[in-house]
Amino acid sequence: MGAASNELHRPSTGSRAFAALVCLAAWVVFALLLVELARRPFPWQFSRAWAPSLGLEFALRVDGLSALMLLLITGVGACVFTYAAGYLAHDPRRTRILAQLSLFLVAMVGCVSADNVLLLFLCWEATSLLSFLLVGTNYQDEDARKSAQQALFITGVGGLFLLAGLLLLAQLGGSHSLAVLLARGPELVSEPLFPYAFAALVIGCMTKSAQFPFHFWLPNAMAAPTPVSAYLHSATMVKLGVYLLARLHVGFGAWPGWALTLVPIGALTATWAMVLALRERDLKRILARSTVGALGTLFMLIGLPGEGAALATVAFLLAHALYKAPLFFVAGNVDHAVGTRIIDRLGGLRHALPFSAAAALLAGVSMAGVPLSFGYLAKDAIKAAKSGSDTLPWLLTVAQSNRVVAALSVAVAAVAAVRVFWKHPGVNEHCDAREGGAAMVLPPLALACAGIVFGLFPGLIEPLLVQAAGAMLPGGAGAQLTLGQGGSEVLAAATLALALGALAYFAWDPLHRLLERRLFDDRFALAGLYRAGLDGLPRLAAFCTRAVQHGRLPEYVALILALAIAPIAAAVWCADGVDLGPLPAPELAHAGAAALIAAGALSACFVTSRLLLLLASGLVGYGSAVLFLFSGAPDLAFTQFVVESVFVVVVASSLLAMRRVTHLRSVVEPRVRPLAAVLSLAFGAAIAALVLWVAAQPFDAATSEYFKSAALPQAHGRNVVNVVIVDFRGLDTLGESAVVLFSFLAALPLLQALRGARGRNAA
Amino acid sequence: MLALALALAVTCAAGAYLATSRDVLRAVIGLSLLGSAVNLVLLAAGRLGPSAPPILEEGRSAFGAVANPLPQALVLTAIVIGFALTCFALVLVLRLMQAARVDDTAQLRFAEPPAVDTVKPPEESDELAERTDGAAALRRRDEPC
Amino acid sequence: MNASVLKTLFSDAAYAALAPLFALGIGALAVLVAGLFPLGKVARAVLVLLTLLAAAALNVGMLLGDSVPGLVLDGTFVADRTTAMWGVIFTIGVGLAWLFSRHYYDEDASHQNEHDVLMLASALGMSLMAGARDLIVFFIGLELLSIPLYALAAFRRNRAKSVEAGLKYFLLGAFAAGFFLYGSALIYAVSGTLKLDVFADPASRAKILESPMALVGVAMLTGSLFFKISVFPFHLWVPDVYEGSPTPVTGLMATGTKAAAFAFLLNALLALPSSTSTSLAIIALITMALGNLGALVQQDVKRMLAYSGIAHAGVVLLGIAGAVAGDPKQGGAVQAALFYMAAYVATAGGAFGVLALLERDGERMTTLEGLKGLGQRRPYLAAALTVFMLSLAGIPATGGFLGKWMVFSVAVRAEMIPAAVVGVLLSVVALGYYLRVIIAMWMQEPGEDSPLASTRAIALPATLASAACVALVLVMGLAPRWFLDHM
Repeated sequence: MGAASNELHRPSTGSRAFAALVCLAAWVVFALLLVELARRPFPWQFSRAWAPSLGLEFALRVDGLSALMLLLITGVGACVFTYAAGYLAHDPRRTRILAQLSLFLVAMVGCVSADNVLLLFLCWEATSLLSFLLVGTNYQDEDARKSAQQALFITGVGGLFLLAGLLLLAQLGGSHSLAVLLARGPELVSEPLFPYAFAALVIGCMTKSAQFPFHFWLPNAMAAPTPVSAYLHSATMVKLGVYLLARLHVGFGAWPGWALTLVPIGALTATWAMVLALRERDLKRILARSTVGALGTLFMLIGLPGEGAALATVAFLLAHALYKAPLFFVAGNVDHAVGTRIIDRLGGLRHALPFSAAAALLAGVSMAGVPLSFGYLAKDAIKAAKSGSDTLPWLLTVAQSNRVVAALSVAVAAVAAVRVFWKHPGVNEHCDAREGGAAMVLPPLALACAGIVFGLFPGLIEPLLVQAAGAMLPGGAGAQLTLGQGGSEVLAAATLALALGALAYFAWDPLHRLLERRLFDDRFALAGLYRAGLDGLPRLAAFCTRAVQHGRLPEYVALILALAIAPIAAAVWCADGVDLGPLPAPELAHAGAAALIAAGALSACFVTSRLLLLLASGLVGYGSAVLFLFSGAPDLAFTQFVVESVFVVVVASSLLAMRRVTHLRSVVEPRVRPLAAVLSLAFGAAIAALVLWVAAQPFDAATSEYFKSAALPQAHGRNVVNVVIVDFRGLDTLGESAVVLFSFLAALPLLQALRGARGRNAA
Repeated sequence: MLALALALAVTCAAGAYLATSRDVLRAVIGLSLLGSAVNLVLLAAGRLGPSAPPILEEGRSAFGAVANPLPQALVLTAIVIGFALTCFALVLVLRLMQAARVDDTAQLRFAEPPAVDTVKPPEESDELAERTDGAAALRRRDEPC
Repeated sequence: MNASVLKTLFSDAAYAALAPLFALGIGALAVLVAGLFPLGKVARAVLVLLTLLAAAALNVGMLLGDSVPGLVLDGTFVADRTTAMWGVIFTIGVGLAWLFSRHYYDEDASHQNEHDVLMLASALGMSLMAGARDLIVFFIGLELLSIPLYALAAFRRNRAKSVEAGLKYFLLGAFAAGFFLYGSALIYAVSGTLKLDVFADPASRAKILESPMALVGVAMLTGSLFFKISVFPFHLWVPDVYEGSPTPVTGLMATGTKAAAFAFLLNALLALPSSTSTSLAIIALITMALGNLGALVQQDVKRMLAYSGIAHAGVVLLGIAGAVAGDPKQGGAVQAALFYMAAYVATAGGAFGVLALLERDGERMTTLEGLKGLGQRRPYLAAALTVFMLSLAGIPATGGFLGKWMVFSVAVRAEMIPAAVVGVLLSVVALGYYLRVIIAMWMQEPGEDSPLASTRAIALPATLASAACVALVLVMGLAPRWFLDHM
């Protein structure tokens, strides 16, 4: 961490006050929670309308499970805040990180106490966002930025799955309240759409809790400062997926697909993660891998049927938080004091960091599951869970993979607690390392001690755990659950795990080298896919954009023309035979007008002079005017004549302006463009065919007749066109005048610019 | 109707042909031709019936066979708006020729990603690049003039 | 001579319905006239503000009032709560663009008066489009909006880029107008009327939609609307025009035009046969894909927002496809589109506004390179842009999220679940490029050759406008109840 490089930075008074305030607030909240726990029975409820039409309600509901999570969030949170205040004491970003951590705490509290599914989702996404910010704290580092982005992408996409699942569930169950939905659980599971909702939910939980194959973001997220890793990526946020599944267990745990999905995922994740832990050299990444392992174990426990499994889930949840957070703290202390976390360069630090060593040892004892620690009790509960059910023997076989996980956990605990502090490889780079102060020593000690105290006096925590387990079980079952039932069998298993773990610990370096050489990494898993996508997507995007957005205007126009021809052609194609009816020979006047129009249009295509081009286009207008005149539209004819005449005046004046720029003519294009000609002819033919076809259809003249009949009596006008324009469609005429006015106005600045530039040129 | 259809075919084809030109002025005129064609289509949509104007003679209170008045009203709107648009466009083209010294849409590439970008569309032919001394010269023209 | 017709046409209800339009029109004329007198800059600005406020107030009055005028002017124009809400959205969009344009044109400051009039005129056009129940009324509204925008796009008339944008917009936009007229002519030829209420009656609707010509007409009408809302394959003009136009105008184009065209499309929903829903959904997804992919590779944030605007149009179109397919919730699509566009107006309007402010420090300030380290140099501006990016990306607690959610809900209710899923996944791609902006601003140091920002103070109008946008985005995301109840 950057602490060393920022040695000179002295925190300001404001920054110190803020840090103190945040820590104090966190401890006060924790204390209040303890008081409330002692005073009020579950469930605690609170609800407030928010956006009812969307089903969004500010509804909170706290039961035993939520309370356990709340205790973790505030208790570990208070320790983390205290630790962070010390760890980052000389870091200019301390205030920012503490503020973000506080927001994170609020979001987590929202997550675990939300009853409304949308509120849950909102808080869920908020934790993802804050995790992004916190992982990206070292933003100068490209890797940190990438890791932050990766974490956000994986958990963000997972969040969308979660939303989809929750919404589907809400739709099936007809409510947005989790409690209501879970109460209806047994009916919901028989819905045909339920498996989809379940799958979406599980994917959401898997991404958040870093289950295989989404596990790769968590070790990379270790780019965050250590207090953040301890809090978000070990004790709380990554447990959200576990929490949500535990919460859903009461409603859907009995569904056959439940265990079938969760147990294999959990077992696979746990085993794979612990094996990968052996490949790491970075202390924090080792711990992160073992966190993934613990999360996998939790998934598996939730999946296992039976009351014992529920108790094991909550017990292990608590035990993991109590030993993993101090281990992270200790890793941070080591990093802080020595400047590295690579285990090859560490050793014998117990003299330099005696308190950290003590904390690491206590936490390691719990992690290894040594008797009399809380970790041992959790292990005992897990053992009971595995043997508590006999419904699905193969599931229990899968669950036996837990033995490997347990053994490797022992090895990891030994690396973190023993190797770093006791072993003497003699390569320690900094001999002047020393402890960083009370704020950095007390939190890990406190949490690690809690792990031992609860092990010695399980009665302290047992009531809460039983209530939490009860919240996972339907109909208030599990009230008679107790911790620490297993006898010699558990002791034997623990001893075996310890022995195997010790073996793995002593063989750590050879194992590491072996795995590094032999074991393929994540290249072929989702991580590789993610990387390939990250590289490939911009290439694909650039290719698509280049192809579509080529910037050649005529081709855009041609595309639009083609798209105009397409529906006409399709319509003619689909209509079986187009009957054009009898086509009477055109009247002479019409033919003449048409000839005029055609002549104008054709010559416009072929003239090269700009003046002639404009005049030819004027000819089309005059031809139209003649046509209007002989089609019973004298008003139109008159207007068109006037307009064309004005147009000629405009043309004349523009040509004056253009004379100076005509020499700029630079377009080099062939006189005849065959492709354009074909397209244009097709377009002309399509429109002409359409008009002929239209004319052959019967006409519904009701509106026109209405205007004709209403003109005199209602509007007292004899010229129906006038009446239509002025009265019946007065709004149009008003708008039309506005259009003319604004076009003039629009041209005004340009005209002035033209004149101004000419004036400058002349001068 | 046949005459109208033929006139329309020619006008639309010519308009489309001009609109696909690289010369901005021709493109604008092409659009104005297409606009004129729309007027004729609107008229035809109300059917070309009797050629008597829909004007009620003094003393009569009911129409005989007269032309359909509604499309006429619409065409009137379209003519006026089309005219306003064409005039505005002419001014715009003039200003463009003056300000950018360009009348070729292939050279209208001021708003494009810089050349280093992956999405930069391929430059036009070499002759064009020669004439304009490449994109740098174009870019310089974006300065106020 | 025609008192009785005027009485029936321009009844009290008609006046009430047109009141916001009259306010805008009279205000535009007043500003125009004021330009003839040697009035101060402040006085004219007050006039513009008063006009916009009056129009907004009249619309809000209609929104909160007990009764609405409904269908007026012989059934060619409608004024109900929906159009009133659209009217509010338009005035906000134009107001934002206007506020951000205050100090934008430093060297082209002449003709500011025409600029303001044209902006008001565009608001008039939008309102006419949103209320139109008749094809020609809509056409006039379209032109009333388009011509000012062509001019405004070219308003930096001393810059080739801007004039080019105006011309490109015109050249391709004229096609939209032409398409619209061709389509109207066809529908008129088949049905004998131009009013949309022929589609309201199931019998006549079925009869019209039987005719292949009417279908061609509907296709052409839809195409012209697609042009305005920048939907594939009519979106090709967007990047160049958006980039070349003055940035406040770009904001207006991105938000106002799109909203107005959507408003009409929702009015004319019944003209679309329900069999088109699949094609509409496919077009929407292609639009989203092209927009998102295009945005992903842009270095200039203004151009990136242009592409992202295409993608956003695709999202709303997906909701419309759902409505065409048959959304069981009455008015669900209208509500979703209204909310989405309201949020989009605040977000994109604000984002373009912030870019306009940055541009004053140099053109390259709007590139990703130029934005590096903005969080340290100008934290408030960077924070505002961050909020906008988050909302555009659809992150929860912003208006953009709720809008997206409502639109996708329409698609889901209409049982277009695969389309909705693909749409959501495409939105995830979008997260990539919005995030890049945030990362550049907060997590990257300015490069060696990074353009250095001046410490020029930001003018009051722009400050107010960006603050209002941020507030609106957050309020719509966190306390959307008022909006939902009135949509």
